[in-house]
Order: sequence, then structure tokens, then C-alpha cells
Amino acid sequence: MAAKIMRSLVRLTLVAAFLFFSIGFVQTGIPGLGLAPAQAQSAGSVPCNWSGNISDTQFWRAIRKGVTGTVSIPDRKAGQLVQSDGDELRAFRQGPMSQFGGWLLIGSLILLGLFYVGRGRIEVESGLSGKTIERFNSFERFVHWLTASSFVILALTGLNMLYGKYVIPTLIGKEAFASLTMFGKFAHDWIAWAFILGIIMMFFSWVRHNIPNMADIRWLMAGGGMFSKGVHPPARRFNAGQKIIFWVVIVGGASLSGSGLALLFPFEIEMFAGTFKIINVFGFNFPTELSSIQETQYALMWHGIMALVMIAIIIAHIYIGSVGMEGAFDAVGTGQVDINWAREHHNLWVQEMESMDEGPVSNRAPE
Amino acid sequence: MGDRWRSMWMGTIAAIIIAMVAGVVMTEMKLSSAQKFSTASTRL
Repeated sequence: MAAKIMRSLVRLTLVAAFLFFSIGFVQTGIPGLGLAPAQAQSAGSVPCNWSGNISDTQFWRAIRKGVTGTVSIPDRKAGQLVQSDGDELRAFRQGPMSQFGGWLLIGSLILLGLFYVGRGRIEVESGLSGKTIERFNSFERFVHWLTASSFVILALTGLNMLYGKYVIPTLIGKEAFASLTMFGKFAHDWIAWAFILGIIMMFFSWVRHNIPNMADIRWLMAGGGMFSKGVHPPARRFNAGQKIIFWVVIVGGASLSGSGLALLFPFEIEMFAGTFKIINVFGFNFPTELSSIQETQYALMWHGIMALVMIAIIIAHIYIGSVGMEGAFDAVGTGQVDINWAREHHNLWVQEMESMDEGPVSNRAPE
Repeated sequence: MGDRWRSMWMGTIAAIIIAMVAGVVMTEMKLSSAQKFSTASTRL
């Protein structure tokens, strides 16, 4: 009987000891194993006060959301461990931007195709005379082609960066596509300087001829004579349509160049916070406190949007300057256009040239 | 045909020459790994 009572007491003692030490370990952790007590965070406080009243969950959530701390090295960006805007940028580039950009480019080609089917090639209605007039001198043609050729290379390499991965690897394989894209990226970065130089020279060459005037309003009201035969609204050296192209190239090209330079020299050229401050004067509410990484991300996004819009517009420009209109290409080819073409599309300019003693009207046999 | 495309070729060749010069200059400008990953660099 006494032995039975003793065994019961020992069991009771062991259970009590187990319960005692279990509660103790829960409160303080298991010595030597370094296991953190789960219940210690139940009140929202972390032992040792290393992060105050912030739990691990709250702490890492804040980091995930992009909270910026302080660092002692010169690169202050290192204070931000996780920057989620990059995910959003990638989702935008691969989602709406690629999708709407694709529709814009395909839509432009379809519209031009429909226009060609409906209107046909715009002919010189009075026929080619064989007499020509110098429309652009050699320097102007050089500037045009410097800008145009560099833009075409930029457009193709840029489109490859946005859409290439969906198409080209299936044609040439992943390795070849990787090499192509790498060389394309170098070409894009380097030939951008030719484009920048081109638009600067183009601006100074042609800006005085591209100031809008009342003749442009009349030209636009008549649809430029594009949609019906026998309609030739008066125009000087550049008509309203060409002026729109000029300003699109200058303003759009400057915007592309600025955002491109910000991408070439990330964290050194920053332009969006300052631009947003100016735009916000007109009642907008764009963020004006941007980190260097956000600046680069905005530059990448804007560069792509502007490029897609400009490519669509330049496709229309290439169409009307080549297959869309008889005699138009000569202006940037030989520089000599047929006098009848010039009288139909730029009659005020021809009158100005003919009124000058040294008018460059020449007699050249038609090719 | 030659005259018709001469300006285009001149502009294209000029663009390529400018790109090559820019490529050389930009390659020379690139930071070495030691410079790039130095704690003194703000381009890290």
C-alpha cells in the first residue's frame, strides 16, 4: 500500500515538474536550442526590444511595401530592401502597354491599307511636266535620312525588346534570340546619339518653315485634299500635315531622347519629379517625391509609350511619302520634285520661289 | 536610281559612324567592377 502511494506521488511530481518546466520554456524559450517562444509575440512585443513593439510580421510587411531605412554608405538607395514598383512596371509593360501598343501599330497598318484601297495612290493630276524644282537641298536630305535611318533602327531594336520574346525565339531559337537582343540593345544605345543629333539639326533647319499659320487651318478643313480628287488646299513649303509630323518628331523625339538618356544614365539623370511639379500646376496630382529607382521606372514606361505612338505616326509618314503619293519621295530622294506636283501640293511655296530671281526651277528630263 | 538613294545612304552611313563613336566612348565610360561595387559609389 505504501509503495503504491509512493509511486502515485512520484508520478504526480513528474507531471507537476513537466507542467512547470513546459510553462517556463514557453515563457522564456528552450535554453541552448535558441528556439524562440511563439507566445512571446502574442502581445505584439518582441523580446529584447530590438524592434520595439513591432512584430516580425509587421516588420517584414513594411519592408515588402517599400519602407526606406537609413544606411551609412553613400548609396542611399541601399536603404530600401524591397521596391515593389518594379513588379507593377513589369505588369504594365507586359500587359496594357504591350497590348494597346500592338493594337495601335496593327490598327495603323490596317487603316493605311483601307485608305490605299479606298483612295488609291494620290497621283499628280495634271501629269508630270518634266520640269523640276529643288525642294530640299543636300544638307536637308542628309539630316532627314540621318534622323530617319537611326529612328528605323531604334524602332526595330526597341520593338524587339518589347515584343521579340513572343515571336522570334520560335523562329531562330532562344540562344540566337538572346544574342540578337543583346546586340540590338547595344545598337539601340549607341545609335540613339545619331537620332538626337538628327532632331537637333532638323529643328534648326526647318523650324522657321513650320510655324503654324492660317493657311494650315484651311488645309486641315479641306482634309489636305487627301480624301477626294481635285482638291488641293493652298500650302507653303510645309503643309499642315507635314508641320504636325515635324512637331511630333521634334517634341516626341526630344521626349524620347530625354527619357532615353535617363535610361542610359540611371540615377544620374532624373526628370520626372520636376516635370510632374510643372504638370501639377494645371491641377494634376502626380507624385513629386520620387526615388531614383522610381525615376528610372517612369523613364522606361514613358520611353515605351512615346516610342509606340511615334512609330505609328511615322508609319503613316512613310506611307504617304512613298507608295501613297506619286512624286513625294523625290523630295528626299534627289531633292528635285516635279513642278506640277509642287503646284498641286505647295502652290504658295512655288509662287514664292518663282517670284525670286534665283528661283531654282530647272528643266530636267523625267526619269 | 543611284542619285535617288544617295542621300539615304549618306545619312545611314553617318548614323552608323556616329553610333560606333558613341559606342567606343560609352564603353570607355563604363565603371570597372571595383569602382562599381565600391561603397564610395552612388551607382551601386
